Amino acid sequence: MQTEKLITPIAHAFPVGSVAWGVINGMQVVTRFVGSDEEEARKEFLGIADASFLGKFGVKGRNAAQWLQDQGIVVPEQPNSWAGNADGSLVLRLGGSEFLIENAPGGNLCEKLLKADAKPAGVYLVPHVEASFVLSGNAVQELFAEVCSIDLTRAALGVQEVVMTQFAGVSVVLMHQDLEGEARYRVWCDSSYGPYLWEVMAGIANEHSGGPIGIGNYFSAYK
Amino acid sequence: MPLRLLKYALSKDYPGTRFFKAHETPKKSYDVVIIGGGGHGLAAAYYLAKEHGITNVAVLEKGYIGGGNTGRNTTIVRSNYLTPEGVKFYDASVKIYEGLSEELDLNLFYSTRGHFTLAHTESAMRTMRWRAEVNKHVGVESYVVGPEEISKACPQLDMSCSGQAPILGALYHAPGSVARHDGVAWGYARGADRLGVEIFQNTEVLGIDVQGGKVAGVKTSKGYIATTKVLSAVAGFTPRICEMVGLDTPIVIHPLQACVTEPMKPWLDTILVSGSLHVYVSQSSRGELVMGSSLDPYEVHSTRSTLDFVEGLTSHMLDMFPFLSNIKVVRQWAGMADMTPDFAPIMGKTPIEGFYLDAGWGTWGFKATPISGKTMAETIARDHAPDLIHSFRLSRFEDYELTGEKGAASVGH
Amino acid sequence: MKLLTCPVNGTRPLSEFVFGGECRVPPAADCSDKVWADYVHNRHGAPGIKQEWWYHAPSGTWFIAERNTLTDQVIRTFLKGQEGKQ
Repeated sequence: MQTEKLITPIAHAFPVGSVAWGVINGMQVVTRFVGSDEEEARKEFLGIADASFLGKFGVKGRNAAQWLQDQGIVVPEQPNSWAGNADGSLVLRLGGSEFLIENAPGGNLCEKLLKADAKPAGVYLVPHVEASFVLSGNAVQELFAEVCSIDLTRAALGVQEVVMTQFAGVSVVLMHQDLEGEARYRVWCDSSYGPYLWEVMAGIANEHSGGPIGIGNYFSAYK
Repeated sequence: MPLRLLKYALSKDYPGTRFFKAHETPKKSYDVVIIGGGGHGLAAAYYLAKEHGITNVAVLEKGYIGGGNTGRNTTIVRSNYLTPEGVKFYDASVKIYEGLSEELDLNLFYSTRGHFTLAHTESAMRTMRWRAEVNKHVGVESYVVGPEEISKACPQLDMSCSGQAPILGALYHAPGSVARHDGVAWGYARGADRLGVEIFQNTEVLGIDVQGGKVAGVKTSKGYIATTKVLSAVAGFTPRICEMVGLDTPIVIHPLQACVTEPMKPWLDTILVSGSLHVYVSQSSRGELVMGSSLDPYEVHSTRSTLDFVEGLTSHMLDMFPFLSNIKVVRQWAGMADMTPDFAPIMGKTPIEGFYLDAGWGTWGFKATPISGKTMAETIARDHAPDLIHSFRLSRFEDYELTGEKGAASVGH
Repeated sequence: MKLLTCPVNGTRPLSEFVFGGECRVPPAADCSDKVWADYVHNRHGAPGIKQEWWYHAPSGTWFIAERNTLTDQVIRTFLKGQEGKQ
C-alpha cells in the first residue's frame, strides 16, 4: 500500500516522464521541467511555476482582523489589498472581513495559526486548497492580455492591490509583488481548474519562448 | 416568363395579385381582434375563419407580418420533447406542417432532415434515453443512436469535438425538419385574407379597454375598435400587452440570438443540436448554415445583437467542424424570447373575460405555429380550451401544476 | 464587450457577472396561498427601470444594479443597504 501523500492539484497537466518530481512541504510537485539553463532562459521571457504547495490559512468574520492583529500579523487596511509579513508570508484581504494568508517559502506561519488558541466569537476558519502560480518575464503582459479582459499593466494595478477577475473564464485572485529584484505575479484559482489554467498559461508562455519552470527559480529556499 | 416580366416592367401599377389586401382603416368593431401578425396570430385567424366560420376578424400588426420571432427563429420543426403533454402537442404540429404546403398552396420548403441531439456526457445520454422512451410511448419516432450512426449521417463532424467533449451518442428524431419561416406567416395570411379576415400592418395597440372584468375594445394607433374577444399572440411583447390589462404572468424576456454563414454547397443533411456546446445548426436550402445558441443570460427587451454571442457560438462550431474556420458569418440577429419557468407555453383563457393568451413561446414557438393557431381558434370560438393545451393554461402556476419541459431548444442538459 | 461596475471590485466585463433577477420583497409569511403563488411565479415582466441582483463571480460579491431593461443601460450599482452612499 502506498503511503498517503499530497499531490499538486495541477498534476494532471504535467507530462509523464521527462520532468523531475520531488516533495516540497509534504506535496508531490514537479521541481524541474527542463535543464536549468533552459529554465533560466524561459524565465527571462515568460516563466510559470507551480506554487500550490505553499501552506494557506483562511479566516473570516467580524473579529477576524482583530484576531489576526493579536497574533502579530500585519493586516491590510483596505479590502482587495495585500501586505507582507516580516518573514515573507503574504496576507490578502479578500473582502471587508475575509483574509487569506500564505506561508513564506520554507515558512510555517499557517500551521502555527491553525494550532493557535481557540478562536473567539466572530472568527471563522476558511479552508484554502487553491492551485497557485508564480509568473514573471518580459512577455507577462502579453499573456494577461490574452487571458483577461481588464488592464493589468503595472500602471493600472495599484502597488498593494488584490484583483479578483477571470483568466480564460476561470475566477482567479491576482497580485503583483517585487521580490528578489524582479516583478512577479501571483495567481490563485480553484484547484479543480488548476490543470486547465496551467495548460492555457503554459501554452501561451511557450508561444513567447517561455514555459513551465521549477519553483526553485523563484524561491532560493527550494533551489 | 419573359412576357409576364415585361408586363411588370411596363406597368405603372403592380400588375400581380397581392398576397393579401392592404387594409388601411379598421372597421368600428370586429368579433375577434388578434394582436400580433406573426405565424401564431395569422394561423389563429385562418383557423377561426376556416374551421369555426368566424370571419369578422382583425389581425393587428405593429410592424410587418412575420417580422418578429416568426422571421427570427432557426426554422426547426420537431416534436422530441420530454413531457408527454409536450410531445403530443408538438407531434400534432408536425403532422399539420407535413401537409401545410398543400393546404396553403404555397411551397414552404418543408424539408425533413432528421434531427440529432448530441450527448457528450453520461447524464446527457440518460436524458436522451428518457426522451426516447417518452417519445416512443406517444408514437413519435425517436431513438438513441451511437457514435457510428452519427458519424455516418454527418461524416464532417469531429466526433471528439476537438478533444473537449467527445460525442457518446445522440437522440435521433426522424421527423425533424426545417421550413421557410416567413412563408408560414405569408401562407396563413393569404389563407385568412381569402376567407375574409382583415390584416392591418403598421397598426400598434396602445391599450385594451376592460370593463367589469370583460374586454370591451382595443385602442390602436388607427383608432378605437370595439370587440369582446382579444387574442394576444405577441411573443416578446407579451408583458407589455398584459400590463395593459393588469395581468401578471411568470414571463421574463431574454434575447435569443442567431446567425448565418455565407452560402456553401450542400454538405449538412441533418439538423444537429448540442446542449453541452450550446449549438444548433442546419443548412438552409440557400446553402447557409443557420446557427443558434443559448439565451442571453439576462432580461433585455431588445433585439440587439452582441459580438460575445458570435464569438461563443463560432468557437463551439469549430469544436464540431474545424474545417469551417475560413467560412464567414454574414448576418446575425436576435428575437425577444418570452421565457416561462417550466419551458412550456401559456395558452388559453385568462381571468379577464374575452382576453386570450397565446404566449410563453420562448425558444419553441415556430414549430408550434399550426397547432397553436388551431387550438387557440377553438379556444376563442368555444370559449373553452381543448384538452391538448389544458396543461399549458395560465392558472397552472397558481395550482403549482408546472409541466417541466426540459426538452426546449436552448436549455443545457 | 459590455461592462458592469461592481461596487467593490470596479468595472469588469459582463462575463464575470451572473444575473440574479429582480429585487423583490416577499409577502408576509401568513399571506394567502394565492398571494404566495403570485410571489413565487409571477414577475413584473414589462420593460422599465428595475433594481436587480447581480453577482460578481470571481470575488463572490452580490450587489444591486439599477438598470433600464428596455435600453440595457445601467444607471448605478450599489451594495445592499448602501443605496444612499457614494
